[in-house]
This record gives sequence, structure tokens and C-alpha cells, in this order.
Amino acid sequence: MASSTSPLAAALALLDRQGLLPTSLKSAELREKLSARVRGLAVFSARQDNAEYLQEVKDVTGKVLTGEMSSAEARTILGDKLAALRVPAADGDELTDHTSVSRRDLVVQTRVDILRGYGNQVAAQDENALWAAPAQELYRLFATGKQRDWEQRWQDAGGEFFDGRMIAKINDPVWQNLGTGAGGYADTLGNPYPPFAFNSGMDVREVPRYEAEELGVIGRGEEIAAADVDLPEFEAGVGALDGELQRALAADGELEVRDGVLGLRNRANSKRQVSNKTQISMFKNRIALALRICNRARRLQAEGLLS
Amino acid sequence: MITVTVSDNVTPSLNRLAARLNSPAKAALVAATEVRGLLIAHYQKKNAEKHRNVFKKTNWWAKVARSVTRPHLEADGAVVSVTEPGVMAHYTGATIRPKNGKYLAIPARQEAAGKWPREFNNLYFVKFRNGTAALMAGAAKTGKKYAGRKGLGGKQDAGLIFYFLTKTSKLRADKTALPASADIDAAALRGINKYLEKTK
Repeated sequence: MASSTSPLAAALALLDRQGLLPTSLKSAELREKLSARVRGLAVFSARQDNAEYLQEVKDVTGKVLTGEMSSAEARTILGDKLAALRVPAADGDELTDHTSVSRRDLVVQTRVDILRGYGNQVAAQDENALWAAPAQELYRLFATGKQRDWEQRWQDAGGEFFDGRMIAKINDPVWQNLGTGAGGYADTLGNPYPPFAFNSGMDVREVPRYEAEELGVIGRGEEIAAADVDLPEFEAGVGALDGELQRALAADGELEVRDGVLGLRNRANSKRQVSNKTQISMFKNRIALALRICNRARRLQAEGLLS
Repeated sequence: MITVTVSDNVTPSLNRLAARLNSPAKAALVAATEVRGLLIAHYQKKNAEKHRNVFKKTNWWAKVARSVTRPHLEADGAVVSVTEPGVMAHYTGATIRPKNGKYLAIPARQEAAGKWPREFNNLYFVKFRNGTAALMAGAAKTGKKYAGRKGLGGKQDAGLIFYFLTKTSKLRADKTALPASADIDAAALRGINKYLEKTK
């Protein structure tokens, strides 16, 4: 029997091809300014401009994917890296603070889930796999704290319901529409495969051919064409991201790369984001040190040890 | 990683379907698709069960469900894998030893569940008279401060034990970390028989 691509191999191959993208752009700016193509080829995190940290993110992602490392261990290693790079805690909510447990957890889990989703999407395109399971269903795998209205999102994305279930053919445009946030949703990840949004409990499962035919999702004997899910210049190695980034920069006059960091023109890229609390603390420390030096000098002068 | 295969009990039906479809690959994927569905449903149910201790849910079994790969073909059949780290250790049981350091840290409270001690900034090493070692929050007269980073932890936690420390821990084998073989075979046969009925 001829072999087909394993989802894990596809995921690891994509990870290997991804280049580091230090950036000062926020989440919404990344979505707006960079195509899914560029984002798919990059290892990045909103407002994370340190390439060394991004390399660590890439490394731990690979180890979690292969089962060598738990996500808890990965998260701790990222914390160690941030400490070594002296990245201070930032003001604001936990998800915008790179050092917080929540943010590191989100970074690891989202990257791993996206790569798994990609790997499964590649495996689903095999002609025999498309025959055996020509459709898939969007369903809730587990409950999350704040649940989105996925039935509404499904409708907004152009999806149909079959016996109340959100089912569509494997390469139906509804999947990309879900990922792009059709209907005006800004929390999506841009991919035609899960996870479709941050911290989502939704997933997809195959609908076998006999069931898809019974429900009327496909016609009897209908063949589904494979989609090309490989990202462009897949074999081009690390140059792939650079090429796409050049195109993005040429197309959008607001974007620039300065000191290796992608950002907006006329907005300063901060090499190190120092919180207000830390700045005040650093200022006080400097004043205290200056006073100690003055006092010491006065004492030495009084003792005649200093002219 | 666990790779799931069906037993020889399934082979006669699989061969009949392969002949009917004129494609062993399609037959194998039909069976594997049903098996994947079974695995996902199994882990989804485990995730929904009440946890035996009082700590908050971490949805670990849901992550396991998410890690079940779509079937792909290899030379001798279709393969479905469960790739979430730690699943095999749950299934076979394991003796866990610390990778770095002398102790394993076992969460003693909800706040500690799913986190590593280094993520707290206020834990102290303490050893009780009976030899039990622990990481306690807040100031301890005789305890040594654990070199955690600026992170979690606050004054309100003072005096609380966050982790018990142990040199090894036994993870008991949990055979429900996979569905029973008979159920896996039944899922594969279910898919195969559906197609055999439809293509009579």
C-alpha cells in the first residue's frame, strides 16, 4: 500500500520552514497587515521583538509536538528565557504580558494546536482520505469559560446545518471563512483548520462518506477535489518568509523593518519594553545609589581620607 | 505517543471491503476514520468526568483528544496516533523521577495545579519532623527560600503548602487511557460494515 503524509511529519516540516519574525505589531495589526500566507511561514507573537525568545518558542513547540516535552515544561522554559533576557513584567492584563503564565501558556498551546491542525489538513487531502471522509463537523470538544456563539459564526461564514449539526465538505470555503472571522470577528487565527480562534474549545471531526451521503452533505458517489494546503515556496527553506515579507512591505507603505523588527513607520520599536512600575523603581534606585555615594564621600572627607 | 492498530479479528471484514472497493487503501481509511472518532469521543468523555481530586480542571484529556491524528497510510495499513506528551505513561504506568533537581513537586492546592514551582515568587523549602518535605508560601523561620522568579504568589498565601516534595512518584497504569481493544475493533468493524451494506 502506498504511504501518505503523516500529520505529524507535515506539522514538523512546516515548523522547520518557519522563520522568526520579531515584531512590535499588536494582534489586530498583525491580522490586518500580514496575510495568512506570511503568518503561516513565521514564528511570531504580538509585540514580541526578541528573536532569541522566538527561537526558544520554536524549539519548545517542536518538542511538545513530538511528545518529548509537556506544555507545562515548555511554558516554564519560556519563562526562564524571558528571565535570562531580563524582560520585565508589563502593565496591563495577563495576556498582553509576555512573562505571565497565561500568555506563555497561550503561546505554546496555540502554536502546537495550529501545527496539529495544519498536519491534519494535509493528511485530509490524500485522495483515499477524501473518499473515506469527504466532510467534517465543527463541534465543541470541551467547555471554556467564555463561550463564543459558534452557530452564529457558522452561519456568518456561509455554513449549513444538517440535523442541527455544523457540517461541510472538507474543502468548502466555510472553513476559511471561519478562520478569517467572516461576520466581523477579530479573534480568529486566519486558518481553514482548527483552532479557529484563541482559547477555543471547538474542533473538527471527520464525517465518513456513508454518513455524509445520508445527511445530504454530498451526493451519492460525489468525489471531493483536494486543495493545495502547502504554503508557497514550501521547499525554499528560510528564504520563504523573507520573500513573502518583502512582498508585504512593498504592498503596505505603513510597514517597515527596523533593527530586524517588523513594525509601523513612525512608531518607535522599543528594544526592551519596560513597565512604568519598573521605570520608577529604576529611577529610585539610581537616586538612592547617588545619595549613598555622596554620603560615603562626605564620611571619607571628614576622616581626611578624601581631599 | 501511542499508535493505535486494530487486531486480526478485523482483517477478514477489511479484506472483503477492500475487494468490494477495489482499494485496500480506502478500506483501511474507512476503518481508521471510525477508530479516530472513537478515540476522540473516549477522551472527550474522560475530560468531562469529575476529577478525583479537588483541583480545577486543566482539560488535559481534551488536549489528548485534540492530539489524535487523522489517519494516514503506511505500507501495512492506516495509522492513527495519539501524540499528546504523557499519554503513554498514563497507559503503562511509570516511575517518575526529577529531570533537574532532587525532588518532584506534587501540587497540594488548586493554585499550584498545572504550574511549576519556579513560576511562584514566594515559596520556601520546609522539612517536617516526619521527614516530609514541602514548598510553603510566605515567610518560614527555618525554611530556605525557593529561588522562584517574579511571578505568582502573594501575602495572602503565607503559611500554605503549595507543593509536597518527593524523590520519586509512581503513576499507576490507567488502562482507560485507551479504549478497550474490543471497542477499537468494534468501531473499525462498524465503519466497514456500513460500507459493505451500502455497496451490496
